[in-house]
Amino acid sequence: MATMTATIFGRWGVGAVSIAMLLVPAGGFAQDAVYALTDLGTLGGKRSVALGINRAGHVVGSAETADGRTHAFVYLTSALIDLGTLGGDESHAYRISDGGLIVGRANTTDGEFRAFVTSASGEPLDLSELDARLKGIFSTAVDINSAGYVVGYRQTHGDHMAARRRAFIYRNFQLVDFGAFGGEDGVVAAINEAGQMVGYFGTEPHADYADHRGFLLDETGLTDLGALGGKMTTPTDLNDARQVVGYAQVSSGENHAFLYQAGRLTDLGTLPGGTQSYAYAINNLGQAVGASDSSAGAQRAVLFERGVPRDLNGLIPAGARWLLTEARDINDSGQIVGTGVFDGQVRAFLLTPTGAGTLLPVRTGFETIP
Amino acid sequence: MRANGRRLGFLLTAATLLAGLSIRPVEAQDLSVVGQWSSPQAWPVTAVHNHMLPTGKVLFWGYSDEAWLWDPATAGLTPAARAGYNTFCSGHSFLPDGRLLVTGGHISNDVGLSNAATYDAASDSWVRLPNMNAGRWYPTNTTLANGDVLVVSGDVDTVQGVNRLPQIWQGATGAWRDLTGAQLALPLYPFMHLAPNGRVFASGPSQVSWYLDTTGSGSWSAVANSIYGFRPYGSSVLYDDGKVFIVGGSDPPTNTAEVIDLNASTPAWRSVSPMTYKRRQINATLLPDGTVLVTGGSSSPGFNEPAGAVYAGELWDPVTETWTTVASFTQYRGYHSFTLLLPDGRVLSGGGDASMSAEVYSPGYLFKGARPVITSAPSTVTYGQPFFVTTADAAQISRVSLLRLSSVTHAFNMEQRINRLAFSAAAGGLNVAGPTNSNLSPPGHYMLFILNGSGVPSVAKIVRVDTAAPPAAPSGLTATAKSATRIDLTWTDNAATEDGFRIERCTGVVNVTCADADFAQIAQTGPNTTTYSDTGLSAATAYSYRVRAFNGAGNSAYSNAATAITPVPLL
Repeated sequence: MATMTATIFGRWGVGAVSIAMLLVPAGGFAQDAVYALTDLGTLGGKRSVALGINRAGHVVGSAETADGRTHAFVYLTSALIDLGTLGGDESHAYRISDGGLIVGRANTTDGEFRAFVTSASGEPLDLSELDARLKGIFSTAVDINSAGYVVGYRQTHGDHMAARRRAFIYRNFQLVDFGAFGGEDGVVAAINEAGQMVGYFGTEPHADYADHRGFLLDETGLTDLGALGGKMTTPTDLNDARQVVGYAQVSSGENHAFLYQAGRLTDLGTLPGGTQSYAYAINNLGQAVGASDSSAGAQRAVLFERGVPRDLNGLIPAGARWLLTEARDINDSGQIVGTGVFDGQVRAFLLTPTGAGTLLPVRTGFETIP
Repeated sequence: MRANGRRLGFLLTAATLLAGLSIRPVEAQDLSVVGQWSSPQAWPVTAVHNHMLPTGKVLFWGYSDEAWLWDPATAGLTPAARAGYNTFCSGHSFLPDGRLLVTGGHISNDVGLSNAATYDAASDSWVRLPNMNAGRWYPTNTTLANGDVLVVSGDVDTVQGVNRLPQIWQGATGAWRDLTGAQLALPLYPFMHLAPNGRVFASGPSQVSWYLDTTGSGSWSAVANSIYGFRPYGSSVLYDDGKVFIVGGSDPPTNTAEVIDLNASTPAWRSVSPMTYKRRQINATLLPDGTVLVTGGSSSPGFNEPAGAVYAGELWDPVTETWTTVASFTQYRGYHSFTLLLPDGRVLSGGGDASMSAEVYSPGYLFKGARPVITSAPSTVTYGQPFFVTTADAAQISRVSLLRLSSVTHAFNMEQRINRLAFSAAAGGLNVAGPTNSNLSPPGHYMLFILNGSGVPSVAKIVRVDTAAPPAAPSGLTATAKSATRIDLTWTDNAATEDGFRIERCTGVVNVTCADADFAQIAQTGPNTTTYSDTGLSAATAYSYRVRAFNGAGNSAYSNAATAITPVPLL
């Protein structure tokens, strides 16, 4: 695995990246940035969720169809486009590359889920058709970079007691098994333009819901991200500056959003009165998004600025009649996608900055972390 | 110093030896205190999901939808119908009519199915329901006061994480209702209990306890923080009206326990005596005498460590809040194990990864002499309605309890609860007050136990607790003019649950001069009445009548309408 890792990083020619250059300079206190809000609609059913957005503002996720099924979609400029399935009745799209390639999972006629890659105009490509190792019980692709490297994982065995998850990376008809990163069970979560990855690995055998450790995999090897007092650290995304976001269990058993950078794992806290928060994505400007509950109880979509969450519901047009409940991705233009409630339904949204405010990164450089 | 050094060396050696051994204490011999385990019986699968059915049999399945039935009377095993998809890692609870509602399921670890289905024990068949909003892997079901079912948590997949949207299965409409205002990430298989105020109390395993108000679009409010903190793979039991007990769990495991009284104006967790043994991956089972039996689990750090197996059971008395160590079983029952209460008062325990077996525990109360016997009891009892239990042991009875049928997996029983019913001895049996509050006794099937003064329970009668329905409509109404001023009515009483009859009259002929709106109530009778005389009428006049029965649940439909004409008085 170490050899393969070196080969991949060597192919991409990625060396040490100047992290500081990729961060937005400190900009003082933010003014209220106003977003334009776009209702992405559904595929004819009641619900939709948006999970990924690329540089062009194209959005992917999943939505309910008129007959009650869940299908992956892509949103380009207007209505959702149904990406179909691999013959089954369910699919989910997680990320879209700047080149427009979409990854996710879809089930086949026999109900088994397979990792897929597709484009807005193409048929989903079942990655297991390219490598028989993915023909097992379950496989999924979870992220893709603009170079076309797809990361995902597969389940190795149908028998529960023997089953493990193993990560893979795929590009140009070649698939490399990354194993479980030294643990019993390995899941990859994201890949950046430099080919660096984040994920987590379980430390216990025969455990469905066991403890797991988050990691960053780069040209120096595997780095354990640490913990916030609990037994689970779950990275969700990293940017090209190797800033990693995710969520980690704290001692109370709740999860708190974190930022990992320069060897430090930082608790990003919650909205006032809250108990839990999640960071799902970070862009190359260091802006991160996610969700947090508050003293009001239910979860709200947030933007993490200067190390704390900020309620995105205060940044959308007044009278929008939306409750934004979670933000799932943010591109380098500051556009945000996620899920909210509109007219009593769970609906996908797109927020586009209007230029009326200043957005700050989750951390403005390497200031002292409290 | 040398002696102390030798002692220290001995202690270290002993500690090292003990650390490598499982905890298996020498048992006391008084069976009326410690009870007794049967020998393990081989089972065809590892029983992960287990349900005490209204038919008296136990339904179980393991890592797939290969389901089996176990008969407590014979210990016989028979295959059951399959759901047709992988029901491993699902949530489950009983609907008011006794069907099992199964939500979610297993695609891969952390990846859930959005499926829902019901299992009907009477016909041994499954029926698919509309899918939920998204996948749920490790959800919790909670039966609500009106028989609808709340479903929370469960992972969608590793990208989307836990399903934040609470949903309610509505039996009346056959559709899901989304609590869009209450989206929140809960732990997997959270401990949820319907509380006396109608809200659903989330008691753990996280430290923060919540109320979920399921009205409207739903809302959460924090209640209190537990004292110990995060208790993964501990358990939680609603052991009395509004009283919740949490115990064990955590990593490294804890032996601590806490209670909270939701009837208090400001509920707060309070520590009670700890167990003798630290343990996680446990099961906690409510018994007919109100005690809670804790079994299995591991005392060693780690997710599921057989080396730390705890074989001894421990019994918690909610009155004294103390523990008694009871008999030990012989196998490690940790992750993916279960226990549930049987109608005969014994406890079935089985499963656990790599353990395809089950065994039965006879609690100490089964060794305290003769058991009271329920000769007969109604199969259905209604809220607020007294019912009669036939027993020759009425004079000995000190308690009558209802325990809801169990549906249990992953260290948490989503259904068990106890109601203590008021009663009085009568000739040949007991007059028992039916449950009055569906927040305390949500509709569905329960085990009805009667217990004597020594705490010895009868074998239970399985009864259905249900909302009272309006009575059946009367029929065969006739109207006969008896004089110029009197008309007599007769009808057939078709109801057994009416509080009386309401009689309505219209002056005129039905469908000619009498429309529905022209009828008005003229009288109300008591139950079991089938005649009425209407007097003070005018001569030579047509009168039409209709009758309906009523009770606390409302009115029946109307009887047929009948018309009579008073004669012209003779001069």
